[in-house]
Amino acid sequence: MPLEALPTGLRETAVSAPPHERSGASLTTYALPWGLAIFPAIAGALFLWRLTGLTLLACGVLSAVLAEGLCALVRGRPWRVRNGHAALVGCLLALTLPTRAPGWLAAAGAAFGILFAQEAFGGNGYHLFHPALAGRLFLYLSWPQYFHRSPLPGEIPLALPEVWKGIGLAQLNGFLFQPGRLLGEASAALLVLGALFLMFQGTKWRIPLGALILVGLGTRLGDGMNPWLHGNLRETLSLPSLYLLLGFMAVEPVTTPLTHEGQWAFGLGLGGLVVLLRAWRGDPEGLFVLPLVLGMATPLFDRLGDRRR
Amino acid sequence: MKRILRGRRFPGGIVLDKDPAWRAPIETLPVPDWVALPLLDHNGEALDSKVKVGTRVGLGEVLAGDEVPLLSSLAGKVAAIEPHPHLSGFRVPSLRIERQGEEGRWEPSGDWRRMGQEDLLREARRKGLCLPDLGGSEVEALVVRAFHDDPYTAVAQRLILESPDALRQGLAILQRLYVCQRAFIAVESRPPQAFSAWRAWAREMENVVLVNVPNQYPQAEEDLLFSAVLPRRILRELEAETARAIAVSAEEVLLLAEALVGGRPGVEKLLTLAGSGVPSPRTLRVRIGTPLSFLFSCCGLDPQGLGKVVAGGATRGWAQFDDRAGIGRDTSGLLAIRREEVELSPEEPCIRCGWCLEACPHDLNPVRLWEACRQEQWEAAEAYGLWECSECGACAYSCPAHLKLVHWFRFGKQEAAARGRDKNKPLAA
Repeated sequence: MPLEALPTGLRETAVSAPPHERSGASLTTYALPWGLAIFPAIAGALFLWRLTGLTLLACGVLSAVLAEGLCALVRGRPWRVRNGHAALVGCLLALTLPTRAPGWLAAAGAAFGILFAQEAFGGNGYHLFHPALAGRLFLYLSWPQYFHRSPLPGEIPLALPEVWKGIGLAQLNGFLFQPGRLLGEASAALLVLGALFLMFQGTKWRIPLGALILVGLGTRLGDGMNPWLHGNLRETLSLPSLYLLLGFMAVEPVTTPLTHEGQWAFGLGLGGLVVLLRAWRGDPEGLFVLPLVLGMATPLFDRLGDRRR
Repeated sequence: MKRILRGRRFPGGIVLDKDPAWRAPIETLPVPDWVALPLLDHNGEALDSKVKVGTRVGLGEVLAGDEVPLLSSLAGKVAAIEPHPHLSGFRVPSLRIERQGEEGRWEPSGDWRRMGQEDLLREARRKGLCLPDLGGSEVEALVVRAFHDDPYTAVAQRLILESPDALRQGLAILQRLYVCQRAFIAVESRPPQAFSAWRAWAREMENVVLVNVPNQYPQAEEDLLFSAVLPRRILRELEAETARAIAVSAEEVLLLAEALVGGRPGVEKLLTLAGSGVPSPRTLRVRIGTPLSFLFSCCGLDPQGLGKVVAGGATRGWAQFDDRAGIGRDTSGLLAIRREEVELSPEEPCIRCGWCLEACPHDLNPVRLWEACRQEQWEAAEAYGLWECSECGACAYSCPAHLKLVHWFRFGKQEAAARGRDKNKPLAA
């Protein structure tokens, strides 16, 4: 029998390269732990600063999502809001804003971040700068007056039990329960909790660890030991914004190095820059610009672990 | 057996959810009406046929090749020698043999216990078993791979439960063939029934060590298997090339016993049929060259309801579109997926999460390699280890953006090879 006469039954089968089974990971499952990790901080913010917090968060998220969707529409590309990326950017931006900021500020910052720091470079996966941090920088330079207002009052009605104060953990009280100036600074403890959780979810944990090691070292070595290292490094460790920065901004996958060695370099570099900034009594606002600066060098850091033959 | 060792983990790799179909006993499929045997040797090089169209051939008769000959899986007549659909997707010059007449009996050529090394090797190869010829050099260790990388294949598990005596004979033959007493049996701890069967089997033999390998894909690759199973001293000697080690699968051990003790030619393949389109996954014994269409009809599968058919395992296999292709020597698994369950996820932008780097067992940078292949920078691709990639798929398995990395690497290899940079051929299914 010739080949053509032989019976064949398969019709329209999918032909693709292996592997034919996948782990079930998707961009959505990658973003899900972030949502869980940031939830304590959001809950704290809403608890302390109810309507303001809600306004800022809602404006940020909506603006970011709409901006990304608009660009996808204009480009004619498929848009997957499920990826959670735009929502996360809007959320993180809102959390870095001062508590007295108006809602439109969050919207403007999120839109700028998405449009100019992300979509202009090619969209998610192609950007060089963290959209939330770029948006925040834009806001700080354009409307600095909102960043110098006094923060909204707020107090978490909790404190360490007396017994813990006795064993010298009194200073932790401030760390755990005192809110800071920004929306995300309801309590440093909530941020640390979320950040620790995130580090075990397949994110780039070497970066915050490296940064923290160097900041810790700087705290030990500085603070009065040297004439020019006269900064307030110990205070830096209790700044909630440090943990917001290290735990959530510095582990953003697209703008940070891919390889292990590159991540250590980035993390140590970030820690070093934090130390330098604070050693010369730099404004804590400046902390949020540091990953932008280092993000420019991410491809160079990646060369350290290139695995070229 | 003195002890059970724990296998070492290698850097990288992934953990697969394994669901081998080990409960169903091995079924021997009926003899098909025709088989398609590609004129390729075990390296994928083309062979010249020794028979012409119309020649009558007996079961196990040599059709092509010298060192490891291609044997006929049927007794019948050569119907055609022409390009025929192959599991790799290409049309490969093949012999199509139609069944005719009775299959004769077969006899062993002699008592294997009295044969020397060279005779044993020659006899095994004559029976179609592709065992490496080391020219009499020292073999330090024999490794029997008694597990499968693939999540569904259960051949090794069924063999220990059904044919432990034949396996024992096969191992004895191997030990004589390679003059090596030390054997390492690499087994996974799940399913526990198979593990305890292997343990009981190995316990009765001297110089046999059971190694419990961790569930880490792709540990069935030879170099990774050796690094997981062999003691460091032997690994150092392998590195320095002062010693050799051999890895065989449990199936090869069985076929060796059947060939040298019973005289049966190695014309059959043990494979596991699984997938959502198969109501009861099971292990089958089929003639090499059996067309997929025959296999489907014997197992009661409706090919029109299948949306994807994969030959060669869920993680490494080739998707099929023509069921006239025949089962090959290396097809250990057949996956038949229902049309409704086929998942075709499009590629999304790489978010540079780095999970592929963590998964790669060969310390490659899949992102850089992918970029080089995509941008057609072939020298850069080779610098990033294009030819070291074993297409295991661990990177693509882990990728949250569903990048089709293995496809890009295959494309890269094809293009780079076409430009004359390397003689490596793509792997046949």
